Amino acid sequence: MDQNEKLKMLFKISLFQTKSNISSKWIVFYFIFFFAASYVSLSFTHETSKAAVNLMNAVLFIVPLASLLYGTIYFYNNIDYIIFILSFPVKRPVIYISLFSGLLIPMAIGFLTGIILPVLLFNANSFLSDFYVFLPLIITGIYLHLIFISFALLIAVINENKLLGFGLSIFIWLLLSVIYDGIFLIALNSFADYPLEYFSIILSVLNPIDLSRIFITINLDLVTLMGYTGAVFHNFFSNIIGCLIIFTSLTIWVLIPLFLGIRFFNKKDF
Amino acid sequence: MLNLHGSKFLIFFLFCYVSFSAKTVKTNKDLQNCIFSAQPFDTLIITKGFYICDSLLVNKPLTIIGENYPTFSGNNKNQILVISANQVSVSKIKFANSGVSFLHDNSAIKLDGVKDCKITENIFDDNFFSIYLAKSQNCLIEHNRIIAYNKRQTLSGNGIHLWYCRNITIKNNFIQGHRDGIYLEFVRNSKIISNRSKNNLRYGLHFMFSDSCEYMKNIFEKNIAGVAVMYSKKVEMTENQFLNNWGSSSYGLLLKDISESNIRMNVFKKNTNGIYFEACGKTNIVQNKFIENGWALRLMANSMDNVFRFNSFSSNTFDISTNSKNNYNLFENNYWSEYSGYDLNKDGIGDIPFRPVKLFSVVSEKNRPTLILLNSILIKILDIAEKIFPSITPENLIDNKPLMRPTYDKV
Repeated sequence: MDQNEKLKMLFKISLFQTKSNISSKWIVFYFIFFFAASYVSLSFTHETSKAAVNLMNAVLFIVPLASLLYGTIYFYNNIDYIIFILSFPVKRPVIYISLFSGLLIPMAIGFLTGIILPVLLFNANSFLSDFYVFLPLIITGIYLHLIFISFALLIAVINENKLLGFGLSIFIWLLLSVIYDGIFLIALNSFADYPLEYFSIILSVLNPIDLSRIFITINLDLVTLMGYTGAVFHNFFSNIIGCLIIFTSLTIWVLIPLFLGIRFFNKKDF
Repeated sequence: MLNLHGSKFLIFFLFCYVSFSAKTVKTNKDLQNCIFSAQPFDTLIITKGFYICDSLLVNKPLTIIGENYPTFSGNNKNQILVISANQVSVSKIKFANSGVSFLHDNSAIKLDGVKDCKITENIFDDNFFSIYLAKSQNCLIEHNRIIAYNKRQTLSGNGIHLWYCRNITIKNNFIQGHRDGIYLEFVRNSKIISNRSKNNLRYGLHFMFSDSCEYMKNIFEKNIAGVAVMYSKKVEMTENQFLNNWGSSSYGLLLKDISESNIRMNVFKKNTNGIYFEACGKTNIVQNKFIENGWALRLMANSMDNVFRFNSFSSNTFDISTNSKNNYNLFENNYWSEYSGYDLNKDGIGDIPFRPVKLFSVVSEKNRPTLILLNSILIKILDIAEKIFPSITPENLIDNKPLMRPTYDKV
């Protein structure tokens, strides 16, 4: 199979996956959730940046959890279909990537339209400036989908046991969004006598959810509340090198589970 | 020289209510000579023009009025007008470019040891100090428009500067871009009413050692550090608005060593710190609104016997933070937008007490870098847990009778 044919196959399977996923009631529900969240936060506060903060909480909470759970459920429920596809003369990485994009595209579409549509509905005139406020939120939202869908597939490929798979994905979500911050807080408190700014920069780069939160916050005026540390973060992350560090780190978080997943998928004996 | 020719020489006896011999003189020539040759209680009308002044001395009671805003310029190095006599009134003149001087506190108008003066309806443009009152009494400063453009605190003076004064009224002025918009030091019994002070490099209003003063209906907006009231007693602060004083060390209102004062019906919106209390006592904070501030109140441990009543707190990131485990202030009948209690008997007062201090505000008060975790899910969980079983937050900082609705509906 040459490169061209591979791409064709990839496109074909992804398209089929997307079609089958997008009509799923869970994706519709996902869209409705973000639409409601965005609509409500825009209607309560007439300020886009305030709405962005509210939405940020929803996005950082829901997107990783939904991506992990939906990803693992999807893999387990469609294991027969995957085995069937494997019987065709298609390379395994192609199948894996198309599974991945078949999950990513519908979820991302649900997320994006859910967030952006209310902005358009509320004030079409200032859409561009509002969109600019929401942009960091949208970018990190997409990245979180990428990261946690690749984690979900990795977990599902490694574990044949459904229960273990769910448990692991919930554990990963808990670890990155709650437990990590707990360790972070304990570390900050126990080393309070030392200058902690660069230490906390390093700690937050290592966790995609923290990194997303900080990337969104430093683009809002909320950053002034964080005092000196906030100023250090702002200086560090608001220039090109800082952005580069953020996006390299997020990209590494996508690539590692994706490649691991492909490796295990290649060797897996169904 | 006094110009006595043609239409430029006019006498209006109608104006002479002060003294029978007073007259009105219209001039566009050498101002200093004109003032020397004028009689006390004369009225000088200055016609439109550009006058370069170097410490123009007014040493007798005169009424100086500009016609179509003549410009008095200090040429970027001089003091412009110095008033050393009582009952002088200056109005409708544009003062520009009094130069920066660290030795003389160069100002557009300096009033030194005078009584009963009036500075009204003038324009001040790009001065070091604009109006400077020292050891003066019973003066009125009204309807002036004061603007400066310096970018650095150290190169900039104050808009209205009062030093050792009594019974001064500062009313309806607009001040922008100075170091401190209005500065008071050792002032007694003065009133500051309906002024608008914005975009100043330090404080919109700076209050030092000034007892028994009153300021009301002022608007303080976007000042780098907000408003500071320090080392004073019996200060009345009513119906002012503190807006958008947003920055890493900005305060809507900074109180230091204040006692027996009243803070009533003010609005604090979008300030990093709404009110910061340090060593304040016996002060009533009543019927104020705190909206969308970073910290609505920051209460340091050395503040006690203050009473907080009928205030409404809505959408603040933190309602109160404190560095103390104890509380010697009274919180009662306030409205808290974060209050989630119920009111079974419908008397407008919530049936369960509200604890306005969150766990995270205590943690972050002690250790600032932890603020980086603001909005984290963990912090939300901890705050909820602390709400149910308080352990770190001050146990007696509590509103036992929280209101169900904001005060402006009720009172």
